[in-house]
Amino acid sequence: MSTDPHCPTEPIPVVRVAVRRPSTPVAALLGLTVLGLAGAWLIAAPFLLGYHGLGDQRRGAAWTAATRVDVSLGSAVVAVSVAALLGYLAAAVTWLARYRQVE
Amino acid sequence: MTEPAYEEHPHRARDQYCSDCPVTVVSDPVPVLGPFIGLVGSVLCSVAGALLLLAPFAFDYRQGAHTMPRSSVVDLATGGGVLVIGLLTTSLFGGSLRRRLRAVEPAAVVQEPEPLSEEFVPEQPRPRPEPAAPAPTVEPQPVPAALGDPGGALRDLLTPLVAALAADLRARENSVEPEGRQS
Repeated sequence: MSTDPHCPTEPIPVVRVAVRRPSTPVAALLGLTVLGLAGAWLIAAPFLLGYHGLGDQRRGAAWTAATRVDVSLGSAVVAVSVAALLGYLAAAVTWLARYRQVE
Repeated sequence: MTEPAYEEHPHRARDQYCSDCPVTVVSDPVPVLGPFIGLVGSVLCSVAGALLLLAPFAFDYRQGAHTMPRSSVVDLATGGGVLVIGLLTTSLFGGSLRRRLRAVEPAAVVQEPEPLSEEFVPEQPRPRPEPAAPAPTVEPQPVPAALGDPGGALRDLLTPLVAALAADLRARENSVEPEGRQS
């Protein structure tokens, strides 16, 4: 317990209560990782599977609509999931650096 | 006549006169930024999965063919997977965020370091006029503690004003009372 240093004549006791570190949502973070892998798979699928049907992507040919959609949405999913993972990591490290309690 | 103890030690004054007064409790913030970022990211991934499910029909991958092209199968399967995993991740991050916002379990009461102020330093005795002493020839030096003690300086400044005001009110009451008795 300490007192307010700005009010020396009428001390106001201030008690700081530390918050217990909450558990890490491991399953949710694994879900984000799987989403990132799915995005990477979407980017690579048109070239790995070798679409041979009508309208499918052929080697050396111009990109079809399906390839453009797959690559763009896959890139978006990868970017969002990686950004979310890094954002969670940064927020957790920042909180630990500020309010970590020795247990 | 000695000064009251609470002027020298404010903590003792609180213990003596206000021991049951409420105490200001400041809690550390709960880490909610990380789950919130994950929640937003998983929602965006779910939207991308829904777009993948709609893309084969919106862009007409089939183009009149009898069988569904391979690209449509890949888009539908991957889009469905991304949508399901995205919604599951959203619910997990939402549950984590809800738990963190609802239950605040205090780990320990942290003793904040005492501020480097002059709280425990007893105030310098105020210069009092001594009736038998001769008139001082030299101006008294200012009390150095008053520089770092704005409350004490303010009290020293306001004390003669309050005394003058009290004397004025007392004199006014004394002048009004005889008039009231006459009427």
